Amino acid sequence: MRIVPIVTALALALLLALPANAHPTADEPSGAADEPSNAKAIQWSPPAARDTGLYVERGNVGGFLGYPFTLDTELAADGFVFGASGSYLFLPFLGVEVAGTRQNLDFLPALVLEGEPSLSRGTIESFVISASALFRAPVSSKVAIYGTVGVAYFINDFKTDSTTAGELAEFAFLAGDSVENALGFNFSGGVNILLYRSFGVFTEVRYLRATADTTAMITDEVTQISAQFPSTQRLQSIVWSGGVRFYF
Amino acid sequence: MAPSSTSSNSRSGSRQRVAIAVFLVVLLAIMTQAGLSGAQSQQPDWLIPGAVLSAAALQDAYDVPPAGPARLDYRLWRLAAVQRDQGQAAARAYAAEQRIPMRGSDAVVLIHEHARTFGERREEGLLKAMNPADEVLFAAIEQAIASRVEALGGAVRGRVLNMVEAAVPVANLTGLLGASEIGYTEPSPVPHVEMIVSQGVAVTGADRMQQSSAYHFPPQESVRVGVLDVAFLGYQSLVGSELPTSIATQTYSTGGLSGSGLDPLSRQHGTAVAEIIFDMAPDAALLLTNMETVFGHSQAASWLLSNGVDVINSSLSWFNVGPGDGTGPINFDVERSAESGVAWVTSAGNMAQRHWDGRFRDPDGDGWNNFSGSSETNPALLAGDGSLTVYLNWDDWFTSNQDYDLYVFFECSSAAGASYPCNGETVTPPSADQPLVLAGVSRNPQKGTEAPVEQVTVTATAGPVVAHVAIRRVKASRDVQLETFYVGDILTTPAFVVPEGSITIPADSRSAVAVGATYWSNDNLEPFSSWGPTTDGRSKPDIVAPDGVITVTYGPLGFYGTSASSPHVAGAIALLKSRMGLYSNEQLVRILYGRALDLGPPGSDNRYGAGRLSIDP
Repeated sequence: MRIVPIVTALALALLLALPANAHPTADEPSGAADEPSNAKAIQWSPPAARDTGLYVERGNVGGFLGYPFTLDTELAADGFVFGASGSYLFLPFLGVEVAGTRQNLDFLPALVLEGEPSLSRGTIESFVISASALFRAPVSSKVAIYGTVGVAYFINDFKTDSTTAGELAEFAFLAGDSVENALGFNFSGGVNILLYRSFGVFTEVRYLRATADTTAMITDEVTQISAQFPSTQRLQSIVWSGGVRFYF
Repeated sequence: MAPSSTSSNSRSGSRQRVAIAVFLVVLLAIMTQAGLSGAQSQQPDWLIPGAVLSAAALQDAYDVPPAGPARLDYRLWRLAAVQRDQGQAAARAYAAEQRIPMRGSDAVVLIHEHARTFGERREEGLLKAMNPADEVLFAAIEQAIASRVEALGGAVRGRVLNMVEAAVPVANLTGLLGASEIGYTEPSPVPHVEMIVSQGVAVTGADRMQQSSAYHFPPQESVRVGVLDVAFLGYQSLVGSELPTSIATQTYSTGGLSGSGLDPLSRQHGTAVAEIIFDMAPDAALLLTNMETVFGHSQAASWLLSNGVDVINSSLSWFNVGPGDGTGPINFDVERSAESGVAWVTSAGNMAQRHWDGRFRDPDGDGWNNFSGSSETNPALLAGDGSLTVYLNWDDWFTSNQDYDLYVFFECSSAAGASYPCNGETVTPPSADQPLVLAGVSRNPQKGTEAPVEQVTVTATAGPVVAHVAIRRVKASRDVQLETFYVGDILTTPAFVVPEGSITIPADSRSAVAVGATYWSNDNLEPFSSWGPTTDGRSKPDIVAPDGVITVTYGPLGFYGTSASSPHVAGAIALLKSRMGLYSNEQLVRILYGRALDLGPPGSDNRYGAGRLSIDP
């Protein structure tokens, strides 16, 4: 939760601190990027020509840090989300985006409100690779809003709560819960802010969702008797993130 | 050197001959002591010797009452006679002594369907439900039985397999004779709790697991443990302290949960059992139910199953309700519970020192079984004011045409000739060399529709007395395999004991977890803990667990016997279930077997089973 204002504040600080008339593209007139900056105050320039800044972006790569908000009672965020993304525009307003997002969600079986829990207490570690259509709309040479929608492939791993696992191990029981990889979808909306030449920041909200097959399993290491419980677990989160991007 | 050497060799040879002679003498003495006659049991020196019974006509020698009519248990026939000749009060006293359950002035009896539909299910061991055709046929038979019972002024209580339990006025019991639909009528069997009280505490490793946070997929609701017992006197005062607050109860006993017709310790038996389960599995919910008879057992089991129990503990022993191969009406309740996924944990029995079995032997041809050598009785010292119930059965289940009778004699004096006091009466010995007088007899007829069982209870009314048990062949085409159990207040073990096969019902069930007893502090097998195998050769008990543990109910002297061991295992299953809910109850049972501390011969055996219960690996 605390990362949200941090990311937002970081983005605003960079916006204020860096030259407002930075231009990112190689198509700009020579010397334009070397104009002195005005760091003392925000002075909005007259509307830039539509052949500068984010108007002429062809794509970007960047990294981000964020925080996941869960929508299911049994899931809770475990630390920050981080990842990287890249996009390429085929048309001024349309492109593709590929992103990789790493998120950890704690599974709390005691908080399952309906039905049986799918897993024992532990953490679902997911690396989400998403491929999305990108829609963007620059509102100025420095600001562009965008949205994505596409598929998301969750590469999952489950780590049993270490205390639980340790105590079980003391009695020679081995917890072997697992969460299978799953294909889902994602969509997002965000704002790109160009700060300096080809460097900018962004903030976005992204919804990630998939339903993964799960297997809860316990094994008695003395007798090798195992018990399994196959089920499914919905993995969904709203990730609010911010980061930096390099435009080309 | 040579002479010296020769002399030395000579002395050495002499010593060898002396040693061999001594060895042979000792061996001869041992062989003589053992009878060396192919006996299946041995009698230690300190035990009461068996007796040779008179070969004279029984009626003259021992004043034996005549046998009863076919298809009616001897005790019921005697009960009706006692009421007719001596009145209701005497009949009630006789019923109490002979363990015949009563409802007011009615005797509770188990009426066996005539064998014409029974044979096929006999082959199936009574473990499977009747097929539809049998159901239709038995429904008609049941209706006929019910009509007859009602015509006699009685009432049907319910049905168990191919048997109907009914309350019938004692005066009209003989009215059941002659009914073609009835194969055999007996007093509804009642269980024993086999009280043994002393000192100790439990050691299983359960406390460590209770204190740990070792959870994996715990059930969302409390694990439910059913306790099926004879009585739960005083349980209310322990709720919230020694027993959980989550308790449900249901009684199928005329005396309510406190039981009736039981001694004070037996009335607290279920409470002490429940205490141990709670000690082992404090998060479990307990369902307490008690009963008196076979049909009550069926009702209690059904109630527990309908309430979704995971584990059932029955620290009870039944006798003469099955052949000991896991079949019979009590075993049926175990098997149907297992089919529902319920773990049925039961005491193995405390009969290792009170059990004898062997093939009928009569080398002198006088009709009396020879227990060993020339001994035609198997004596034990009965405590003053104590009672002894002797159960006899043989391998001709479920219906028998091999007729044997059971006798109990009191040995009151070795003086010959004159009359003398015996057990509160003045008796005259039957012959100059025969100090035995008849104390009790069971003369069930076995003419093809009756069970191969006999049961008699005798009471010492004037101080300790030696009770001699004898078995007599009435009419048989073969020498059957006999089995006897002594239940009651005997101060010595019977002279001839065979601990093998002393497992009781329902511990012989295929699906039951049969629990033997080891002393908590040293893992020594309790000498009374019953041994396997079952009559069909399966290894039992399955596991052993501590006894001698302290309970509030029985105080610091402790709770001894397999009755105390069984709830340790039931509680251990519940504890593991509450921690690792994915495991089925059957899997948890196997896990406990695998984790048991192996005792006795390596691997599973007929005394310790898999070993002593241990949750810790």
